Amino acid sequence: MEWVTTSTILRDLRESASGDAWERLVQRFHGPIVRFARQMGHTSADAEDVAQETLAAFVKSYRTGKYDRRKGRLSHWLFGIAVRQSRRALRRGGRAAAAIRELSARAGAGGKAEQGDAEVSRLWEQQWEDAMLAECLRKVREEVEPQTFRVFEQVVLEGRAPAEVAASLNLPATVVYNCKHRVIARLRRCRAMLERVT
Amino acid sequence: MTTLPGTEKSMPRERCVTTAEVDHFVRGALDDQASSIIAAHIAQCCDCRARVKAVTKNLRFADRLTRRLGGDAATMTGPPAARFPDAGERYEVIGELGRGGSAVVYTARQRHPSRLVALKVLSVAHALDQRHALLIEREARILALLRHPNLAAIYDAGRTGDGRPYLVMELVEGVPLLDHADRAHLTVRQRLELLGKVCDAVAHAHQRGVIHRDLKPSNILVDDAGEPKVLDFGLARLFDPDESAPAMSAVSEIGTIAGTLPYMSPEQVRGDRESIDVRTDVYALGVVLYELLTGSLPYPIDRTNLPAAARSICDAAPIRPASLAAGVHGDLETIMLKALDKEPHRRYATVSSLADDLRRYLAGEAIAARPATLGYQLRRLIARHRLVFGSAAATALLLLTLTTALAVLAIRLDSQHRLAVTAQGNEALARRDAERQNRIAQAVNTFVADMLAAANPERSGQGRDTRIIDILDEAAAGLDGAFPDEPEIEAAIRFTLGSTYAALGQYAPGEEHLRAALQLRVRLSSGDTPELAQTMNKLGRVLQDTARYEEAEAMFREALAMNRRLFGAPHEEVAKLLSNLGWLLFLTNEFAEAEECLVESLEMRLTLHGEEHSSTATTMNNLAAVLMRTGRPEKAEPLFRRSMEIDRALRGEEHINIAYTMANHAMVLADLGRLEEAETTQRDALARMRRLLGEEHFSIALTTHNLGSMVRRQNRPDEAEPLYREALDIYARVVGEDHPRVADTLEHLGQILAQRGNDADAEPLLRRALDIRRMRLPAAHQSVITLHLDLSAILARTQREQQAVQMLGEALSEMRRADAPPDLRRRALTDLIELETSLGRLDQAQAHRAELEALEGAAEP
Repeated sequence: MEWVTTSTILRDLRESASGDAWERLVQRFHGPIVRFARQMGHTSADAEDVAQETLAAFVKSYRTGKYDRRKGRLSHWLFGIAVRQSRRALRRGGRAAAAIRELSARAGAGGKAEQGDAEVSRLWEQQWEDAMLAECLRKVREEVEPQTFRVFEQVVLEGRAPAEVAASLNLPATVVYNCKHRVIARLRRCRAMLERVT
Repeated sequence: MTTLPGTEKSMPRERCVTTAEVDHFVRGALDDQASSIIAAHIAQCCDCRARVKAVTKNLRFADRLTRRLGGDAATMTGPPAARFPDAGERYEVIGELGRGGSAVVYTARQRHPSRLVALKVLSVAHALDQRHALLIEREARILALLRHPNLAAIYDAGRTGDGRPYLVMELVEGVPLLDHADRAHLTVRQRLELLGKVCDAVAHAHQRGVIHRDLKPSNILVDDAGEPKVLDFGLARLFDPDESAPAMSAVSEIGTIAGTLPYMSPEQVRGDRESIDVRTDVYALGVVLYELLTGSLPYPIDRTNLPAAARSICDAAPIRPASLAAGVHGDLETIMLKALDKEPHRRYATVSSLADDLRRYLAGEAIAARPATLGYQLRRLIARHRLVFGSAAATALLLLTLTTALAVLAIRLDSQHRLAVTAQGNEALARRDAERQNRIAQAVNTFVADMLAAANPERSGQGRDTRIIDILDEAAAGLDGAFPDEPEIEAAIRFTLGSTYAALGQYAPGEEHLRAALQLRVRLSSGDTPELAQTMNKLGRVLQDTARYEEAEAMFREALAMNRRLFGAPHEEVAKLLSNLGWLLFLTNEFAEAEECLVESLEMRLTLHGEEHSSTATTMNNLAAVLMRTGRPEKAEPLFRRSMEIDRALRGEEHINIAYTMANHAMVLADLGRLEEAETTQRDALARMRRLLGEEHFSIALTTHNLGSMVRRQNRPDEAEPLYREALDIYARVVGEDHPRVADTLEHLGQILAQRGNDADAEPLLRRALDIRRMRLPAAHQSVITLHLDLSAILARTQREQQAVQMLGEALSEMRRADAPPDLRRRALTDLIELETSLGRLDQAQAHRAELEALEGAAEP
């Protein structure tokens, strides 16, 4: 399966009018936008609508040349749209005030609007980063030997001692460290590549 | 705190630090003495400094990752209890039971009621992916629908403290079905009775609208009382039993393949979701039944090669069970083959009807299934052969098959040749000869079949990760002395093994077996034979890949001459050797003769096979590489493209030749200045190679290097650097550190560091590159001179002008002697003049200026 980077998605949207381009966009960004919208206080159905409207609005603005890749990351552009769509939907449902109060309360002090914004931005960054990391983990898992990934999973993600993992998998400890760093290095590269726009 | 073994006081040591040591060092896990020893070494070693930098970045990234996953890096090295998922107060995790694609299963103790349970939790690696979480939750919902003594029951479900879904099930303490049957020495009757119970459990699930979709022996455990339990409904799907068409699940599927290859039905393999229904489970139970009674799978399946495995499942007829196990014939065979039919509508319509037929058989009654008609069997046979001959793929199993086929092909060629020779003479002798060759071919095929049977992961005990290399090693270990009186068979098998090792990039054992085969074949023949030529050719390829070009050239030339004598021209065996020799000459920069060989080979192959043939495509690719290297990219580009089109049409997307040609095409695109396109193509080629060849392969290193160069040419040296370092790591593991390609990578990496002003780290890399090149190339070779020029520039920049002048002077002498290209001489002279002027050596500078002017004057028309 071809690995879809931000560049691939943007290229497809620019060059192809087929459903594939839309499908790829949805595959990558629908999940994080829905989860973000859920955290903004929408119901599941409303969150789906917000995601759908956000992506449609993005495609429209991208195809009319409003989004300039050199001016900022795609995530920031999508964030702006998602927040607008979310607030619009909340207003429609009359829940805006309550949601903003809740977010401000989570931010900690005073209920100031700026703190609410910072919290919204943090929620977005969190969902975005999770989606990107999940994609990198999926790709790297496909690329490396299962044993190599298993070592990484146990040592890095589960925090097991390398010596213990080496013993359980019957590997020399040096191999465990090599596997660990090989996978992390690959993940790092992958993460850097994923949002690089060429 | 950790100490370093074998180190003394705080003297810097000569050995470079390992990744493990760097990891300890960066995390501050070493004691002071060990730490200072490493620090001292790092201060002097630029490679290790780079490694420290990379490991530091890695650990920082790992921290970020674990934080996102809900863990805290600082607490992740705590006691074992802290590492297990917190499933609340109700469960105490005792140990790990196993792990699958996206979940880990633990043994746990439930507090109320007190009992041991199996706790299945989404693995941390999948914690960020909500789709996998939904799958576990769906499994819980499905299990809640089922209650049957032969199905593992669900007790509870929920989310762990860090938000991962889990489900709690009955802990089945038993052994997998096949192991139980073997250990308990079950009779055929007992095995069938056992499977009947499994069928009942699956039928229960079907009645509640659940299709299992991943039935296999390891998902069926048999407990101490001899009762089977069906486990793992992780891939199960809900359907409406009252409707003829299955209802689609509300949860989106992940990936395109769900199931375990050897037990997957043709419709599962094809991804034909509409056709998946209860008959998919009938098929899987058919495979389980087959394995339970014969000890083998119905057809060999290579899990590493999806396209080939898919073809086997969709088109290969099962090996007749009666040929594998006495007593499995007649009605029993008919039952099995009906369950295994490729067409769902020809299988049992329900699992209950399969169970019914098994019970009828046991009761001695007439079964409902009828054997397939002869006409049907013939149709399948024809379909099978069309596919076998119509396609090829490029991973391990197929390589084995191909090399075997090559051995057999050569034997046939040999027989034809001898038959022709004796056509006018002794017919009986020719027939005996053909029979002998046939016997050898059969012995090789049996050997390969046995080797593949050992690859059955259930039997080898290595789970899903049985590697083809391990299978080869095991087969090779049993070869010594196995054929004391049959050197021809041993030679053919060693040839097959050697070729397969070599194709997988395992050159040392490949060479060992090929040399042994050559030795045996030389001893057996008194003159030219196709087998001898074939072995020399294959050995030549290994020598070429390990940069022993002179020996490789001798092998190719000898084999070519032999084939010309044996077959005359045009003949494919001659064309093949011409193509191989041409490529070797290309590698040794003998471009003119390389082109001659490749043109002759291409003409021959076009005459013999036409354009739409894989061999023609290979030679086109090689010739295009020569054209590219000799400055004719515009002619090379269409050849590469055509070669790729032919390979795609003939071999499908997942063939290694596509990846190779794609990589070459990327190089020519880069030469034509289409760098973005080149980079995309090269990345695609690399991803394909990784899929088909794994990580440890020469071609992966080479392509990674080439990708680095493309990135570098687009002014992204920071991205090129890690690619070069990765290429170096792979080279070191696969072909050692003195391979000529290593010098190329060192040169590029050194240049990047030098351009960044990091002369201290660049210099040792360039010097190592120079040492490697000097081993094989004349002192005046362009590649050697370029390194002299790069190094002298570093010397000049680091206040060692005298040494720089000396190095440039020596390089210039060599260039004068060998009449080197004028642009290199011009560059050396210009650098030299500048240095000499700055050192006040005006006379020498003047003399060199005169030489430069003479050179420029000569260059004018």
